[in-house]
Amino acid sequence: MKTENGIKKLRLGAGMSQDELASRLFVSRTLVAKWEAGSRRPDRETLLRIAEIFGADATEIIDEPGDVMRELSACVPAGADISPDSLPALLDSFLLNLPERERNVFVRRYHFLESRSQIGTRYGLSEGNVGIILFRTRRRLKEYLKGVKA
Amino acid sequence: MKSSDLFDAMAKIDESITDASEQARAVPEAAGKRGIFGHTAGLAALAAGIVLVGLITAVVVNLLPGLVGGGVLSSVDKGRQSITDSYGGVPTSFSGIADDTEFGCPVFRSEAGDSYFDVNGDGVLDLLFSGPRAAVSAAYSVIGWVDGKTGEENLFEGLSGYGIRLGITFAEDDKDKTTPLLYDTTDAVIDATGAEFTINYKGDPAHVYYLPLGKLVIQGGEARIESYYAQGADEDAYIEFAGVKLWKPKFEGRCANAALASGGGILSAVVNLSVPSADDAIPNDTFFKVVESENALELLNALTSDEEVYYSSREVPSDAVFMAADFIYTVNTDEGDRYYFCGRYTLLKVGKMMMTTVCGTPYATPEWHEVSPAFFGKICNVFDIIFPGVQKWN
Repeated sequence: MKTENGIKKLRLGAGMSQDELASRLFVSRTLVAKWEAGSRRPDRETLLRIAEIFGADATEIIDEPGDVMRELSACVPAGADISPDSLPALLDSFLLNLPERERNVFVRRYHFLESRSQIGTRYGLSEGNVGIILFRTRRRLKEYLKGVKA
Repeated sequence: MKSSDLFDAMAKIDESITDASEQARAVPEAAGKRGIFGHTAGLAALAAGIVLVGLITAVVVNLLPGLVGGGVLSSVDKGRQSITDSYGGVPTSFSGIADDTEFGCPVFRSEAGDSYFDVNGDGVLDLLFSGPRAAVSAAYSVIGWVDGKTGEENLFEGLSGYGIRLGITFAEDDKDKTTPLLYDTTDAVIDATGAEFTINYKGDPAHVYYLPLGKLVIQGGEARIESYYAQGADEDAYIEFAGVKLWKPKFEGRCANAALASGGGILSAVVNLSVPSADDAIPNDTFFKVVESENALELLNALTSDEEVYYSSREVPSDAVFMAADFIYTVNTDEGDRYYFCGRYTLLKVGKMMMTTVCGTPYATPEWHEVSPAFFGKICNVFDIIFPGVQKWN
């Protein structure tokens, strides 16, 4: 993920402090610091707002959002009517019930937007194995969401 | 709900989860690189050899009981372990009532008496034995995968093949008696729901296809499949079975998916064989057919032709034999990496004729090409012993 470096680079390039950016986004400075440190990532709307603030393209902040989005589309059950507001808690519950390795791999990919290669290096897995884990976990998530009543 | 909702929700998951993923680190590899099946590299070094023996044994295991009246030979029992190893824990033969010790994988039994197996230990139930009926059949799924090896990065991102086989009948009153391959005409409903054939070509989710099977019904001397359909991101992936409309897949996967039931005047075969090539210069060999035929030769022709064919007629050769054996071929490289390749061997014998096909991953590694001729040869030799004088197609 290049979110952390991307945001920081854009912010410093504009001569803006973390506080200023935070106030323009209506978030805390701590959260901006976490974005820049790479321990959290902004949601899609915030990413777009950041890009807009700096007159940049979203791809300067985030890698391959299209790939991630396409992969996540495989997790969406047909006809699912789940409120977006309830999704983070549902995801927490789903993730906490996953084996540790699967959970971490999934989080690195879809929270931190890391590539398979980066995840493999981090956890000592081949890219193929990372792909398999992601594939199966996406399928599990789809089944899980399928069972969620609106 | 949209994928963008999920994307945003993933940004808001609990911080303790993201922190934990940050703190987790790679497992040291001091004790040998572990494959996804959980074997050590040392054991894996034997796998390529075992798989050949295992596959041949698989053939024998599947065929011998039928030929010797359901008996189980001690050598078969020994071979079964090899097969189990070769398949990474997936049993290839069910010559007795399954239990968790026999097949070495977790088994879960429902109140209705069904048994579900998690054959590869990933927490997903892959295998169903539907138990309490007078005669039921077994279905199994086999998974395999391929690591990018020859510049085709992540050639198959995920599962390269799920297969389902319907081929063994258990008699409730004699649990040890099996009638493999050749169906007795006993009323049975085989719930194969959830069995999937999946290909994720070149890691592109747009090319993931699922072929969930519904039910295979053997009833009143007839066999039919209900609710058989495929779905995928590509409209071309849809087929309808009940409407007798077939589909010619556009994907370039490689796997075989086959099922056959026979009895009382019908022979039904669902065969999907796909042998693609990564090299554009080499044409793919792919066909998918659902065939019912009253004529053995017609059925064979239909199965082996390149045309999209559907036959519907009412007669079955009394001695029809069909089997499909999945295999996973394992290679250890000098660098210590392990690669897995999956494929399926199929055999259809009708009268004096037999059709055999091996489908696998011929282009993924040079090792395959080294093994392949011997592989074919051994298989044919086995069949020569079992079916002397039978004409073969390869």
